[in-house]
Amino acid sequence: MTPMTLPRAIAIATVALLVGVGIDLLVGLPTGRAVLLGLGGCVGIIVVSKWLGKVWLQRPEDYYERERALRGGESGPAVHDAEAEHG
Amino acid sequence: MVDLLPPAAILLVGALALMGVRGRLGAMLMLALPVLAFAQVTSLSPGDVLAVEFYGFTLEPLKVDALSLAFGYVFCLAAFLGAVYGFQIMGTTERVAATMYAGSALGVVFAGDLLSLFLFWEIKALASVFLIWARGTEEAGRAGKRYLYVQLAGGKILLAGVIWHYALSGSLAFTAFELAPATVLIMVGFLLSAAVPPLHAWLPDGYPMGTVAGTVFLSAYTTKASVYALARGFPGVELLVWLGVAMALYGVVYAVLENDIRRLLGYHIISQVGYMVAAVGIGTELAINGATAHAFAHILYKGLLLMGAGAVLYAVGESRGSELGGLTKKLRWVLILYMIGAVSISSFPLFSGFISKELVVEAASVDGRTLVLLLLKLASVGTFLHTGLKLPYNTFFGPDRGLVPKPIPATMYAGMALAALANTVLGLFPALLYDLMPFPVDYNPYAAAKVVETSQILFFTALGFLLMLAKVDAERKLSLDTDWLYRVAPFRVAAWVRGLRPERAPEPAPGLAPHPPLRTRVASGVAEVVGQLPMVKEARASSDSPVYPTWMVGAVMIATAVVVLGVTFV
Repeated sequence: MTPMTLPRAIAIATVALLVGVGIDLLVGLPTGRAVLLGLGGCVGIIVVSKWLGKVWLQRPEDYYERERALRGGESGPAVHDAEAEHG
Repeated sequence: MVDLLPPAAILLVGALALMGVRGRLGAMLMLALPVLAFAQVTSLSPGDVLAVEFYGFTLEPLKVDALSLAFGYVFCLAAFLGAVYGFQIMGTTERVAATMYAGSALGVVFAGDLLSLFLFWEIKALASVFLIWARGTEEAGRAGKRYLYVQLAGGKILLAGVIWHYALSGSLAFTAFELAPATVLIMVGFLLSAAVPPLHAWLPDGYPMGTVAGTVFLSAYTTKASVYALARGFPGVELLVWLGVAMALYGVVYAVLENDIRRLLGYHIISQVGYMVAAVGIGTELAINGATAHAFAHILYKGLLLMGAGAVLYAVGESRGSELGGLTKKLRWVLILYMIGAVSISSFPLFSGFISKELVVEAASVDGRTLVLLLLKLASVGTFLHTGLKLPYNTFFGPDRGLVPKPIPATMYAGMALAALANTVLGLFPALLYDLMPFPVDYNPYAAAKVVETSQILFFTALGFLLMLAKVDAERKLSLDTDWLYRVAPFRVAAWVRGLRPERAPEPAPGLAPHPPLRTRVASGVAEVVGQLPMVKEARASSDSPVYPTWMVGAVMIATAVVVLGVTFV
């Protein structure tokens, strides 16, 4: 799967939105709520989370190893289950 | 079965027996134990009580009602499914730990008094850590230590609350509590084990470090036993509604950023438990049914999801989404079975998550909580986005990385297939689940409007995912969480203090680790607490004084502080 182009994305979203609102009117559901929650919620969750990640939360995946290396870490206990290793 | 035998006893004694039985015989015994425990649970009836005298206390290691029975059934079922899945891949340590863990969780849900509850609670914490340590890696060893310290700190907070509550009320009965300082401590103990932010970081830190089968067990018991405890002790506490909603969304945000597929599923445990905590906070009969039903279904579908992710890890030795891909044909059946779990958690009609989550959502709706309703539906969008779309896309459909899977044992497939079957059967026949609920259920999840709206939301979520495909690639990064506060912050503060006062905290000589002084300080803290014990005993002897409970609570709280400090060793 490859990301689609912006004009195609807008066209598909518009058609789907009209169909969704049409179904709402037909069934008697709050108009556009499902569209807003599904499409808007999905896009919103991705955008907000990615933004939080960029500005605050995300670090290189070896972040804690580096922190440990800085202070000279020690190993934890490890129960080695040899039986499982060999099936 | 034997009258009034606590089902926990079967698993706990069985776990001890498993220590001496290795290989295939051990695997078969592990499989038989949950069947026996399940049979014992079915022989119990609401109102059954086993009371024993213990040093002047009346303990009730078995007290049965509809709520405990519902959790009892699914805990046995989860132990059985986990034993099938792990039949060929679990070693003796894992079998003993998993069985003891399941047994202690069963003990928690049938405990009629707070002392019995606490004892099972602690066994649960101790047994479960071995499922992490059994992974055998240094990283798992450290993660297990952090997990254990946090769980033990939670246990001590719970104990402090229990002692204080007993001192004030003279009762150890585990019933619905009024909020007071003592019972708030009990609630905090429960909230920590339910992984309510900011007390949650032990879960995404520890669970993904577990063994392939161990993480399946871990996902079933600790948080759900806590949901049970909250439902019994604190139904209708308004704070829980908002903590639950925050949890549901918190897990969703972190899941967007997460690269490790088992950690991503861990964040979704937090999100899903959020629904249950919110339902407990709403506190109506419908909401408690919703919390119970969702816990039941969650154990089944989350177990299945982690079995699928575990199978991928087992087959290719990798669980980072950024390193996976191109596995649709190589692991076709894992994908199919995983997707049954994914549509279940995403609340697709005809699967288990739909009939349980809708109960929670309906409870919020009936209670007139429009904002809660909308936020829970939004969290549901995030659930499908990650577990149903992003994770399978990155893991199976993404670019082929040339991974060559090793064969997966048939019993792992069997465990997944049975879990998939359970999720489908519950979705098709909701009455099977609803009949187990603590209160009568008069609700039809398959009303046309609900099915249409849910289907629309899912469709538009999938569309949103396709539109944002370029943004959802797994990144080789980790996300800071509240475990940073005990993994990094103390050292930063110590370094800062050393920087400010070099004459008091000189830089260590080259080649010397900076740990020994800290270790010495913690050791002296332990010695100080131990030194207090005779005073506590003395104070307790003059039990007329209202001071002694505060001595006891103080000692327990100091012990908690020591345990928390101990985290800095890790």
